[in-house]
Amino acid sequence: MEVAVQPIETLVVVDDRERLAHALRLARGFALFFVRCNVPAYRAELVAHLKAQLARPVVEVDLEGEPDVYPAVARAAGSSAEDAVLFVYGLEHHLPSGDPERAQQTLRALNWRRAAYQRLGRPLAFWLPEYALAMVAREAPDFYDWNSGVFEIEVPQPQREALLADALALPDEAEASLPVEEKRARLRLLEGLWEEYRGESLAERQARLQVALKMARLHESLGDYSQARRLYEESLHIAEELGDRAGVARVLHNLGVLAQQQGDYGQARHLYQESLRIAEELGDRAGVASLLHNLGSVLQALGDLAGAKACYERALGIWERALGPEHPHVAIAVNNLGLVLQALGDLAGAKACYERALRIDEAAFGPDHPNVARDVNNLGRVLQALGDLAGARECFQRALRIDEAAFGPDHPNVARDVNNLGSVLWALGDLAGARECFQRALGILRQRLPPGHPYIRIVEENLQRVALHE
Amino acid sequence: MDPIYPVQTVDEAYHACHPDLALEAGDPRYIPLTSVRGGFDLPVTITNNIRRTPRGYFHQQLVTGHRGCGKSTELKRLQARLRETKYFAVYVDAEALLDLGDVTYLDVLVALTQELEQALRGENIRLSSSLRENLDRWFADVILTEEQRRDVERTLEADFGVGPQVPALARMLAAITGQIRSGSYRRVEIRRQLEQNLRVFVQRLNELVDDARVRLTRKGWNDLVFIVDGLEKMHYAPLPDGQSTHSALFVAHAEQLKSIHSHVIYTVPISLVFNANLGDAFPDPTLIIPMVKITEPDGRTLYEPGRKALFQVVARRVDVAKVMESEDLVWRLVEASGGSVRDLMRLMRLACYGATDCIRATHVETAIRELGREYDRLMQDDDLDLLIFIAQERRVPGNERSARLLHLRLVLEYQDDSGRWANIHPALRLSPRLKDRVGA
Repeated sequence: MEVAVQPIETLVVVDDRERLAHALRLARGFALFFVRCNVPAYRAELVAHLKAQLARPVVEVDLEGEPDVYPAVARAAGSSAEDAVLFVYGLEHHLPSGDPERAQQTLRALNWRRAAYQRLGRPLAFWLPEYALAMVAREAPDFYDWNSGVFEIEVPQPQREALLADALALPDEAEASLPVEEKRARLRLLEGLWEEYRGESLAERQARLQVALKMARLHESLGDYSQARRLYEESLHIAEELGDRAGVARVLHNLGVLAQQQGDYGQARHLYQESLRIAEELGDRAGVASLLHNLGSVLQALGDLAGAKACYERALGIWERALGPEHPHVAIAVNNLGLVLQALGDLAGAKACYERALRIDEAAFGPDHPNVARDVNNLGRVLQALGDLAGARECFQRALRIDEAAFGPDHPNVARDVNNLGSVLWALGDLAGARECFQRALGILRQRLPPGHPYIRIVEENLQRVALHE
Repeated sequence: MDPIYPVQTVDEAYHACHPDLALEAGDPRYIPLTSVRGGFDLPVTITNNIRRTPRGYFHQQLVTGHRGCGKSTELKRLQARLRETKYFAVYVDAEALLDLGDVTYLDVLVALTQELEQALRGENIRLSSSLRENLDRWFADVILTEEQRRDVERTLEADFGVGPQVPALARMLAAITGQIRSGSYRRVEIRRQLEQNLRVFVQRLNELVDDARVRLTRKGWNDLVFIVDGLEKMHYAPLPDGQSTHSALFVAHAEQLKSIHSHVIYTVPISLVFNANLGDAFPDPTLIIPMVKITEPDGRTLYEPGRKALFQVVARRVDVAKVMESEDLVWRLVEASGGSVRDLMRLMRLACYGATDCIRATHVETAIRELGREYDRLMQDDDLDLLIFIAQERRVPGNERSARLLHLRLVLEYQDDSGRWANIHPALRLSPRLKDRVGA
């Protein structure tokens, strides 16, 4: 008998929310469920709904911050009613993408302890995002294989859009100065949205591009450059597919900044030049100016001071023409020109630049603005180079006062000012004062930046240098 | 209380179809599937092999099959049959005793010792106290100090209910496997010590085994057999030297696994079936429990005896006429299972969700769709070409990537009188990534 095995058709399928509710009603004793929910913010809403529907207690366990998975689940099971269902959240925190060894440990433990989970005698529903679910499926196959259902919950359109708007609302600059924990929380939301926006429509792909860019920025500000690069590359790919030339230019620009931060100046130069070509084609004057500005700084780092100077002068020209000679952007360009002149040994020229920048910013923002602090800082550095240590100290102290008032005592800018003050105190021979400054700077940076960030290293080295002389 | 099978309602059907419980010997739900998957009866075959082994020799048998194919059910039947024929069969559940994410032959040997000690105690057979003390002291000197042991025991009591009422050696063994299993930093140290003293360790172990065999014979037993189940679930990972964790245990350390003075049956990962060196290490052919054959190797011509047997697997548990809207729905699930009993059970469970009075076509299709999603999740993009090759050629090339696909049940093995073949899991044919490339 030759009968073709029937193709599996697409019928009207039963909604996963409904199936999940039914599964939770049916389960007796041990049962294992996985609920894929990419967005914890939406999960709360769904769980509240489920609890109202279910005629049995629901015990929620959040694994975030728990040292280990099984003990936390066992504890919750032990103190729960016999007919309780356990909702387990946050397994993904034990599967960090940046720490494969730890993730492997978690997965192995799930696999070998599955009988122990069974002995808990409660239905367990693990709520987790897609990437974590895929890891469990592939790397803890025996645990996963015991499941009595994997439910894929998609965030409904209106909620999803509200969450996206929320995630994109804060400008990058404001986001960059959030505490580390808040940045991580935002990243998690974005990761969830990244999984949710998988559709092929133009709107979905545009949303995806925005989400990827935002995630990249956050990783960058957390000092996790490899993740940031991966996401920028992903963004580049989407922007290219969308034919979004301005988007491509912007991503190339960001990739250039990233390469520069990582010290890969050759690559940074190449990326800026590519981006510059597109921005010039598109007639994007503002983009051209800011690219020239960055290209200047990378050329400077490569030792091409003349090239850097030319770039800054061009950027300055564009801004002066477009924005007038007293615009804060002009102050930025003048500042950089100052930096390259300083590097060329023209300290007087540099000093003149910083003083002009300071005048512009004081007029534009008043005497207590963070931009003023930046100018004063630069001025302090050139004064220090000119041997005017007292003048330099005064500058750094003023910068510090401004930044403390503007950002509070624990901001990275404060750390910068304190570090500079430390270096001038060190030059003045005040080792104790210098050490105190470096220690304070280090304390702030360790709190605000992820371990291993380059700034932390710089300050650590300063501190070591002091220790060597004490 | 057990329900009366076959059950009559959707809710009971859900409970009757457990994907995660191996049936104990004698369960009313048991359906013999031997004739529809290669034709040999595992308990009979192995018991005969052991009985025919001349005195002074040991039968060493490897058994494999896909996750959820019914291995444990068969091995529990084997244990029952061996006991009936007066072989003292010790069932070792490697999964419960070891860390299958990271397992070495040393861990296996310790686990065998632990289970033997416990099984004999259960039978009120006392091993020579001097041998027990010797081994205990040796462990204390070389492996775990008293203090470390007490430390571990506290966790064991809380976690596994091993209390102070059991003898010193048993506590020591439980402490050592506990340390090995929990992946503690001491694991590395324990293994290093065992490895450095391997000869002595195996000798002490065998003294204990020999003593046990003598005492068992006195009680009327023919001999001792270890059935080591669960090792096939060990974590799969490629190693830098081109081997894998699987071949490292069963090929590179076969001699150590065979060094025990007893008949022994090990379950091995199915991925190793294609490892040419396994046959050198274990000369008796590996017994494979394949999937139930539901079509001929062409994948299209239906094989009625296999399909009917799987239908019965459902019908023994569930009153099809009462619970399913139509009998056709069961045939549909049988097809989608690819001949995997585990997946058939899971599909039944999934089909219960959303069903109130009975399971209808929409529930069955939803269940199949979900299984498709699950398998899609297991598949990586760079598996695609190999899966297409297997779907076309119906055979598995012997390489490490194929091993992974077999391990995850993305590829299923079948067997009949004409030989062995393979195919991709039917649920994979739903994947958007494969659908257009392999056909329905």
